[in-house]
Amino acid sequence: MMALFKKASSIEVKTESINQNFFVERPPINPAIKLFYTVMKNLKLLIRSKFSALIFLFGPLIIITLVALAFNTSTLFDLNIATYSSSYSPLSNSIIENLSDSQYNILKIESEEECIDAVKSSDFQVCVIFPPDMLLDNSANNIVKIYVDNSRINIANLISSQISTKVSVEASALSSDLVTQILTVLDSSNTKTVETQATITKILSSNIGAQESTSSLSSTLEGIDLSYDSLDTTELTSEINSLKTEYNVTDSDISSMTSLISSLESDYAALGAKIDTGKESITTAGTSSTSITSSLNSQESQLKEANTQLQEISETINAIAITNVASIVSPIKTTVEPISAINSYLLYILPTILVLLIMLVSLLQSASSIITEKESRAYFRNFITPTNEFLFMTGEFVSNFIILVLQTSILIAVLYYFFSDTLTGQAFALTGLCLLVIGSFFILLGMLFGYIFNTKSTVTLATISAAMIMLFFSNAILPLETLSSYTRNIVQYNPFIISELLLKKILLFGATFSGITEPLYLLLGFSFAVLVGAILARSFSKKYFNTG
Amino acid sequence: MGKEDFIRVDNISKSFGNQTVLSNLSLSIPREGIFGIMGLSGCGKTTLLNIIIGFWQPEAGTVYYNGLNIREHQRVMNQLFGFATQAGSVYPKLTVEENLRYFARLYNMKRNDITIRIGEVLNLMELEASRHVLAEELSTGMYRRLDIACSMIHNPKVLILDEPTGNLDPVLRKKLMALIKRIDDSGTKVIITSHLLGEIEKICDTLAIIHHGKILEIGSPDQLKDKYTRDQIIKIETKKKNYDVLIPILKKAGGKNIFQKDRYVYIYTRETDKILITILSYIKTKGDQLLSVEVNKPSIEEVFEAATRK
Repeated sequence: MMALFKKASSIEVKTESINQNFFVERPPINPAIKLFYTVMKNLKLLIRSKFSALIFLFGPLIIITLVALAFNTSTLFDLNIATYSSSYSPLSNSIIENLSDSQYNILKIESEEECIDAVKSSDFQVCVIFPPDMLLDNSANNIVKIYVDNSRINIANLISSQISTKVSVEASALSSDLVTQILTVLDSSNTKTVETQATITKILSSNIGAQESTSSLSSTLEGIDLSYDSLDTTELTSEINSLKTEYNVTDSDISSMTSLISSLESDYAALGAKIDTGKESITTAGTSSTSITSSLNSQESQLKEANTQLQEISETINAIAITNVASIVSPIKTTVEPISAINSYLLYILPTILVLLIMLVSLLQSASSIITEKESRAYFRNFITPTNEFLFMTGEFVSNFIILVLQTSILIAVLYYFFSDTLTGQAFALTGLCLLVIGSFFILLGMLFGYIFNTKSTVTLATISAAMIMLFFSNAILPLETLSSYTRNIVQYNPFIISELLLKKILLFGATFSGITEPLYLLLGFSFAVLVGAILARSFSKKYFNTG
Repeated sequence: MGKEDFIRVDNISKSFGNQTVLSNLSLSIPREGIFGIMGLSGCGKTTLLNIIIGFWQPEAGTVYYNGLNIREHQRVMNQLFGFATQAGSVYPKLTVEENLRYFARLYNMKRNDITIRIGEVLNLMELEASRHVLAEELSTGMYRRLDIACSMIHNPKVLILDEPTGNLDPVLRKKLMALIKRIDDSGTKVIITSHLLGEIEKICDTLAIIHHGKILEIGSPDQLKDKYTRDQIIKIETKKKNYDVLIPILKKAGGKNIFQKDRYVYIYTRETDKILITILSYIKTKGDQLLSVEVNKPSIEEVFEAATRK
């Protein structure tokens, strides 16, 4: 044994002012070697404590797998809906049928009271009360009452929202029919107006043609020259008398000729009379033509006015911008739409589940390892070795961090199995990074508790209490909006909320690294503060460590 | 500081809350031989040892090792001292070798040295066969030996054993005491505390009695006995047990240290004959009856009891 010491002394540093026979110091070895041994020791302790190993390594795997299998759906299963109406109408039956076609189990209940009691007794999740003889007319008061159990606040809003949506879809369909009818009539009127306008245009055209014809007729009539002079037979008589003298024409011949002339004069006079009658008729026709033209002018004005009015009607109908029935029935839609395109409940609750899981496991694991170390009594021997105390803390952290890396790998693998089609590789990488940062914070917090408290029961109580406080003051159970603004301003710095926000940004909104830096740095800041607290707590715990 | 002072404790005081555990305690531990510290539970033995190795800092006073303030050379002191606590400071879930290797690394030992040293220590502690056994699977005696092995893995100059025989049966205690003697023989200074005074007397070269945070007596077992064996101890029991009357009479007769314990009265005296005559006279006068009487030289336990009763 002494031989060994002498052998070692050849490489030992002799300290000045110290008796060389006794005061020899081994040179410090690389801290990384000590750290390695400390970490290996911690991991061996964890693995050889089979229950702990089972919990810390397989716990997250089992939990996340079960959660993933259970919640990886976009529908609600086995929802029982009770309905009541004192008198069902085709409309209410139609709505019920619509609900039945979905995943809901519908049962008509005998009374409104029984229907509500069915929800109270949790036999049914919803009670829907339809008004009697529900129908669509101007006097109908179609209020469908939906009763849910608000004590089950997490599902109440979801169910009422879904049922409301189903009922409003039915109402929208009915409204659509009505509006369609109105729009059809309007459309038909518009078509007929246009057709009428065309007819009027034709009439106007004919009118103008008639007016022109009348004017032309009038002009033609006016152009007929029916003037004539009276028949003068004096010269003829004189000539006959001259001929009588010259050619010795008998009086009889002359008389005969005179008779003929008289007959001619008579015929001429008759003709003149007829011409005068014709002239009078033409004058009358011209007057009538003027009257017709005037009338046609008047009609033309009226037709133009009618045409203008029809044009205005047509333009007014055409000016209706929204002719889509759905748009008219529901100008503002109130359907609940997801803010993310992801179609799985699991992904919505995943940030909360992951943070909860990492928080509990990291907190309990680190606190438990510290308290196990403290209770092992070997803790004391670490103190009296020439080793920097911070190395043991680092060792504890690194050991827990290695477990965290394993757990995170398992979680990421499970997530990849379920969401490889939905999430990008960057999302998986960032999720892994954030889980490590989140886990590191909770590891340090657990170490702080481990150093502060001295028994497993108190440290477990403290860590669970801390976890519960962080959980209660988050969105996981009740919305933060239920808190006063003052409280909310404080609670927004809850590490659980910050962690949840980080994962939501990545998993639901596809944030990149630059989009998560603020909460990430905040969490790192918290981690540093907790680390300082843990260092102080360790020094404090050493001060009161009992070796007896 | 005397030439023989190896470790010197100078006027140290230590309190926990309102409770003063050590009060201006001074002590000199010689370089040679096993040094034993005796004291009742809670008298401050463990606190004193923790201060000696520099784990706890006293509110007042200083501890010197070879004339050097240990607080000022703490890193060196950590390598020079080995400490085995009452409860044992090993990891139950590590094997014997893993425990030794782990602590050896913390003591800055190099890999090759560790391998050699582990062999030596296991041989010394008779644990070779259990090298790969988990500490939690060891018997109580082996567990205790492993704890001491861990305390010695870095080849300390001073090995401090706090109640090393606690919870051990008599056979294991005897074996362990023999082992401690071998450690001392190997050149390692051993400081030991125990409440089993008979055993500590057998192996210690120097004994200190600590009581209410102060050192009452210090010296070799023979010196302590000599101090007390100038007196003889008379132990009597009377039928009426009217000791309130008897004790003042015995004090007048020359009894130095007289006290009652249970049914007996103990009288330390150099005038044994005179005391015995006085007792017989008292019995006769008072009509009492003497049930038993013993006259002895005090054992170390009695020395301890006498010293702590002062």
